[in-house]
Amino acid sequence: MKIKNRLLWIVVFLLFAHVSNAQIKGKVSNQKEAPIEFVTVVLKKANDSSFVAYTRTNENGFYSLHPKTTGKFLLSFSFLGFAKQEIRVEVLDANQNTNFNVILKEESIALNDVIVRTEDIVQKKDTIVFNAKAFAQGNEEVVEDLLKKIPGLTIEADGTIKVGNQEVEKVMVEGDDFFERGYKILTKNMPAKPIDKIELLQNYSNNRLLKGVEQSERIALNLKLNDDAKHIWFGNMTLGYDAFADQQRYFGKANLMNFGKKNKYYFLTNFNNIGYDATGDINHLIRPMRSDEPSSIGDDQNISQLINLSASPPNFKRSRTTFNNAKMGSLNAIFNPSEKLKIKTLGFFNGDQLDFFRNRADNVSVNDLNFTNTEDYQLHNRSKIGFGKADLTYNISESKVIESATKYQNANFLSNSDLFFNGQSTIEQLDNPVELLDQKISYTAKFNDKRVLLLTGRFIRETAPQNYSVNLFLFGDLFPNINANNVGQTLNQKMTFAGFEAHLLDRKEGENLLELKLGNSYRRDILDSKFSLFENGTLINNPQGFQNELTYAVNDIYAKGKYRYNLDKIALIANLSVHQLFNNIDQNSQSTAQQPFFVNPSLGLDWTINKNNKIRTSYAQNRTNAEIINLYDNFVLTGFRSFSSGLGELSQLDADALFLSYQLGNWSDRFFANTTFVYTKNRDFFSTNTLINQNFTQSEAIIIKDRKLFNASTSLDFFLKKLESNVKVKLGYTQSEFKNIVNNAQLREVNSINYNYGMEYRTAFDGLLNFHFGSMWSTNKIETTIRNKFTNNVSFLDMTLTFNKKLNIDVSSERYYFGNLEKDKNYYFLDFDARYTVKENKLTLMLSGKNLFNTNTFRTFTISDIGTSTTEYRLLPRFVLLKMEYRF
Amino acid sequence: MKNIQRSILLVIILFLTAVELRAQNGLTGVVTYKSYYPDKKQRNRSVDMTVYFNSYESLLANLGQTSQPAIKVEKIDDGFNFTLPYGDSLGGRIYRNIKNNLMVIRRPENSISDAFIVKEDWLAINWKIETATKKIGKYTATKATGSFRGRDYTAWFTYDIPVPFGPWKLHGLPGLILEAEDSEKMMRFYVTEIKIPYNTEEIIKVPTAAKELTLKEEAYMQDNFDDLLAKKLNARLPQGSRFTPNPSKDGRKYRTEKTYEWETDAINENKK
Repeated sequence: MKIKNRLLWIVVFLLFAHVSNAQIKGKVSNQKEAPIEFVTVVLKKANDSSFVAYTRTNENGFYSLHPKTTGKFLLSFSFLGFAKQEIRVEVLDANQNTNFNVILKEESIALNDVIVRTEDIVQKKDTIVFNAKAFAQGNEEVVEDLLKKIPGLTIEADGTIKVGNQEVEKVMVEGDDFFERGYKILTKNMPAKPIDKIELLQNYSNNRLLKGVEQSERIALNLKLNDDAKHIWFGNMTLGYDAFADQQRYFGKANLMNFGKKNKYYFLTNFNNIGYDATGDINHLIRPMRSDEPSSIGDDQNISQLINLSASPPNFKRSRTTFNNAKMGSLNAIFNPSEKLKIKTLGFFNGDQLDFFRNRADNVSVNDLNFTNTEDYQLHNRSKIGFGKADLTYNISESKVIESATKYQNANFLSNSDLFFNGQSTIEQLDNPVELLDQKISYTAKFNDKRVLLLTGRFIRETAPQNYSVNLFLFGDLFPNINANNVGQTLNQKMTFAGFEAHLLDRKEGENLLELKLGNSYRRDILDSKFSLFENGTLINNPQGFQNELTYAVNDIYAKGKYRYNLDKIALIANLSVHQLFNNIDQNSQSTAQQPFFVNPSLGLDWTINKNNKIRTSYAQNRTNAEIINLYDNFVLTGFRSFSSGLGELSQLDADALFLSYQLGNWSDRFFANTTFVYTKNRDFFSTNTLINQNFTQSEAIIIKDRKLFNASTSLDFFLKKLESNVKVKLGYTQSEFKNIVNNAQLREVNSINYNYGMEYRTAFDGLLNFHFGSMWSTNKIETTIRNKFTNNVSFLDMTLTFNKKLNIDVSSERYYFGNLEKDKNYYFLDFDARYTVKENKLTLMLSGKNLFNTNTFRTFTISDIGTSTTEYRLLPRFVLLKMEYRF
Repeated sequence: MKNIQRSILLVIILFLTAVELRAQNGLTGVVTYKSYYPDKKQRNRSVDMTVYFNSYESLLANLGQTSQPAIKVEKIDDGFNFTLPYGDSLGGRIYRNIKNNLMVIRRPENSISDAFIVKEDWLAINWKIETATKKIGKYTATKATGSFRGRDYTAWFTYDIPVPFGPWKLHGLPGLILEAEDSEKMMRFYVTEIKIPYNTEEIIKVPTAAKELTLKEEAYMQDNFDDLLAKKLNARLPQGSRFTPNPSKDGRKYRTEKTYEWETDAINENKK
């Protein structure tokens, strides 16, 4: 056999020698001169190491290779457990036969390698980088399709991106972000092709220098683009029109984007008359949700307007009662002119015309006073909002950043109403232009891994005049000798805020975090109101006690400290803030000053008993300074038949708050329960002394001691595995006790109790039909000298029919039940949305029907400490909209 | 004293024989790949694949999972739930021997068949070795391209580990394949762990099963899996109910092997 084989080899040798001329052959043996079988013999070109040929030795250790060309070669011999040998070979002649016999030396090797693929997934500290190409299969249209293939990311049916159970904060492109939580606009539209890498950023901080120092559980995604990614314009468009063309309802929306490495653009427009709030789409652009973030000084500073004309019911879908005609356009861009500089600009314009229709009957029953007022109200609002914002980020160095944010808003709100008050026809008019300038500059310096200093300065100026006129004179009883027939008021409010804050974050050992803030804030408010009585067009009186001229300035020097101390399972959070205020009020040509000093402490405890039991509790003592809204001394007309006035003097209010929450299980567990208790005691609070009259009310602020509020709520979730459904039970209880005065009588106690209970059942089937139904009862009770009580119920049933990937239908129905209405206690609503995907992520057709039962009015019943109200709202009639969504 | 001397001598002899054994056969080792197979639902699920080798044989086997058979739960449109068996105590195996060009595949028990083996004709992959290199771990890997049963593969192998083995049925390069992907990115293999030396003597054996099929028979079974399953299931269903498989339009799109030699040969014959 062996001989036969050898003969064969020789024949082969001879054959090959003939065909390909040159030959390199030989024998490989070990140090004991025994032949080695299966040695890998590779021939490469000497100049570039390119592969020429390879073979393995036979059982006699023989090999033979054919270089095919002349030239210099490298011949290598390798066998596991032996040292590799490399020989330089030169083939000069096409017929050359070269013989190399080789002896391989043993070499002990020990390989014990764990290989992490560098290209696919790289983890660097808190960042996981996914190589898009490694996960792409080539059939991805948009970013969302690509993200679906990244392990660990879950993309829900509506496009929500989650890591585990946590939703991502934002999806950036090359570190730039337009959308914050509105990232679906991006992920559902941006083509996947230019994406090179996907970065998952854990413990994410919006300010890069706070990374690792501040307490953050946020998660964000960053998409990196190919170097050669061309500027691609992409976006989508939705157009819809009344399917029956009888009401001319329409809806249009378009997004257009271009994301290059350096510059990014985003255009958006929306126009509709189906009650859709177009500015909702860009709210996150105007006011990014960063409430709990550092350098937020001045975020809560704004003017509270005294007159507010609106007519939509609470706890009800606003779109049902809104007769609108909105046109909105927005242009946004991000520029990176250099490595260090980033400029983000945003501008939008919104024009809207809103109509509301409302009828109301107020039954007032207080002390010996009983009467009923009726209002038939038609409100027409026209608004024009222009808004611009520019953010600049300049990275001075690795550890220093300057950021600047400038906002400017110019808006005009014009309201007209047609009103029948107890049968008398009235026209109200309110002109309310608002102008806002907001400038913030912050400087961040990172000293080392654990310590960061933020310096923030902010300047805000806001003016909001309200010119109000009512062509009816209801105040005959107030001004008995005056023969007026209409009234008007000019109200000027102006606010100036300037603040500076130094904020030090210092992470101590064991993850304990110390935060110190030192700052000074100054706010000056001007409130001028002029109330006039007219006879036809002639001014006849500016009654005393109804005019205000007030300047209120507050300077607050403060120091705040926060320390988070982590023990094994317990974290203690201690807060202390020290304030030295300088209050100054100029009113009625009289100036008063006050320098209160106070300390607000709070203590919190987070206790993770074990994986399934968590307790959070906190106690806080809080003193707050009165705001301008509480302080004006004389009456301001705040509605066509209501006046109100503030306290007239500087004051501070004290409150204690206790909070306790208990969590059993985790959100992803089959059983999950969360219970919260909140108890607040206001040692002092602003209440009212109200004079009630059938034609008008006058309400005056007073300070009363002791108000209590108690709230307990619990929600339980069970997942029933056998039924593939989730059951949710909700319970809530709120009790509040306060005191007020009506018609100069004695101080009376008002006790209000609200409790609600309900359950929801939601299926999670894989098949065609899924449904979600629930019902919630709520009982309200108010006790004073009188007693009012009612129970309402809201139920819903939502069904989702998924016929296949292309077609799905959502049907939602609601039922409202008002226990205290005499008739028409029940209201039913039925809406549906059908989606048919013609081409995935390209073209979708939608049919959406609203208010299919064509319910044209909606009545609600409310109670207060002075009586009851029944209000009827007019609703948008039934319509069916045919919509088309196209991505380009 | 004598005893000690004897022991030392024995140890030396044993050691020498061990060295001698090694010198004859080379080192043995084990390599683990993270592997992705075609998945219609594109869940991007990977499984660990372990390949044991010596200088001329390799065996793909999942020894860690042998104790309990894998269970595959299938959901059928009518709402019935079936638990279909997949896997058995030995699992799927691929044995290769370059000495006698033998390839034996073992398929574990599945919902339509008992475990069986297939002896495949040795099909050499006509690799084209290119100049591109990249680092995989500490190894320098060289690019090679080649086609195997309807898929075009790009493989990255290293000269540093001179054995001709690789993941799944891929083999035949002058070094261990560390990575391989097909052009559709449906079949993907990435090395995760290498251990040399690793004693494989007790592990590398030719797989066995009570039943043996030809490759053609196996291909037929895979092509008609749904119908064969339906036949088998309908017998067991409760009264009045019926299971009709969704006719799949995908053909062999999601199969590891999309064409077979006899088919391509036939095509080539026709072309001629």
